[in-house]
Amino acid sequence: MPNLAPEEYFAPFSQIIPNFAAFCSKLYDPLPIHLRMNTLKASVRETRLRLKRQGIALVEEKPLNLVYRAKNLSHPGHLLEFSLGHLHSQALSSVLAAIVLEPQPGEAVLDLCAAPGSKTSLMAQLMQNEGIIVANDRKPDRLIPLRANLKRLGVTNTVITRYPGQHFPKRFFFDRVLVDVPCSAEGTLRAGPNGTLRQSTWGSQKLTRLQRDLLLMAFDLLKAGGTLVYSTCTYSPDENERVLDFLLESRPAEIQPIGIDLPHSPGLQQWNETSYDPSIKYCWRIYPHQIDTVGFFMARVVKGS
Amino acid sequence: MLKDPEQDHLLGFFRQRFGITREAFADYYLFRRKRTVWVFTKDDRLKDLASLQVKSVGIPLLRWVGTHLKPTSTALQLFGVHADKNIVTLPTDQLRDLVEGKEIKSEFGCTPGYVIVAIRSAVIGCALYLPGRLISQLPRNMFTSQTWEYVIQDKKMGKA
Repeated sequence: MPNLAPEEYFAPFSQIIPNFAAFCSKLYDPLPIHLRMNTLKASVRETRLRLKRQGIALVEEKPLNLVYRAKNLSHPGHLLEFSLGHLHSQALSSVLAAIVLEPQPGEAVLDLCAAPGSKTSLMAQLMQNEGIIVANDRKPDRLIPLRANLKRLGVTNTVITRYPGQHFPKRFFFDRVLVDVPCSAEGTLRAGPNGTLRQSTWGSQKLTRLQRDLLLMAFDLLKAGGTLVYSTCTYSPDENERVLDFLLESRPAEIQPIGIDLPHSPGLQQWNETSYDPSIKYCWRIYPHQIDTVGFFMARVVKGS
Repeated sequence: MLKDPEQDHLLGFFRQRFGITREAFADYYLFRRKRTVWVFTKDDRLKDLASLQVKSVGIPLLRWVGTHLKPTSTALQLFGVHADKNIVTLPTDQLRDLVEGKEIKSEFGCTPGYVIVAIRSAVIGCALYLPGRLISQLPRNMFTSQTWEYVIQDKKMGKA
């Protein structure tokens, strides 16, 4: 498959991405490095101080007081503080998905597609290691980084399971579920040295069915009144709004507004002559020219009682 | 889940060896699987999850090595803050040597056995102290060679 310039690659979305020229322009910049401070093992102040002493310039990502952009750091995995689990390298948009779910200490939480565990470990941090998280992923090789990250980051409230997410047993029900589904990952694309994007090998179409099944299972595993967050790192409406619309048609689900003050675009109301439920406007589309991070989509859904 | 006598034995090890009291573990369950003991946040609902095919629970606390108990570096990073003895605080250049597999020849005022290795501001993990010798028990892949470039830079600034 040929590599394409951002303007060509994303041309099919030129009508839905606001300020398309600025979007494409941003894709020529490298992805920034974001560090999430892990308060399960060290205070934010202590870790910031240690990084500052090593000459690493940090810019706080407000209003999130746990995430900093490292301006002069290319490989955070080399830091002593990384090895000790005092911090984790995590895209800002990935942090947002866990924060929007708002897991509380003492709750029962499911991360249906958990590997490599960045969001799982942040949820444990938000829960102060209290309550229970079930971190599930179907692929054995993906459990290795999941286990390693949870261990390094000092997560003690998590049980790991290995089910195909769409077949997770309905024996235990959860206060909150995160379903960060496999996707075509277009939001991670940035132009390489030759100014082109490597084409995704995943077609949207073959993923949509799996994404629907995962979302339905996530919803079915919620207690009445429970909350889920559905997220992808892709722009395709077929993997985002269309999947949410299917849920709304199939289950007593309600999409809620997301109460964080950050730039974003609303979920689409229409794509390829298909209209979606009006409440899909409450979903968030995050583009890199709005927030300099991985492009992202997320929806906060509540189960009716 | 461990029965009381075995749990008492394990917690007695932490108290006797490192001065870490039972209270530090009050909010946790201990589980044993083969020769590894795992620690998990206490929660009554855990038994309800028993019907799932669970692959692992919490993080490893210690392992039986022959007839000895060996704490994991992961556990010492979490619970080592409660310790008051058998702690070896190293300057970063000696920590680097230790991680690279070199023995540190020195008396550290510890009793022989497993010790907590720390640098000034953080617990790093586990080492074995024999009279006059400190031997790393840290995971081999815990640090990269480039880690030390940052740490040394920190030291040059007089802050490590």
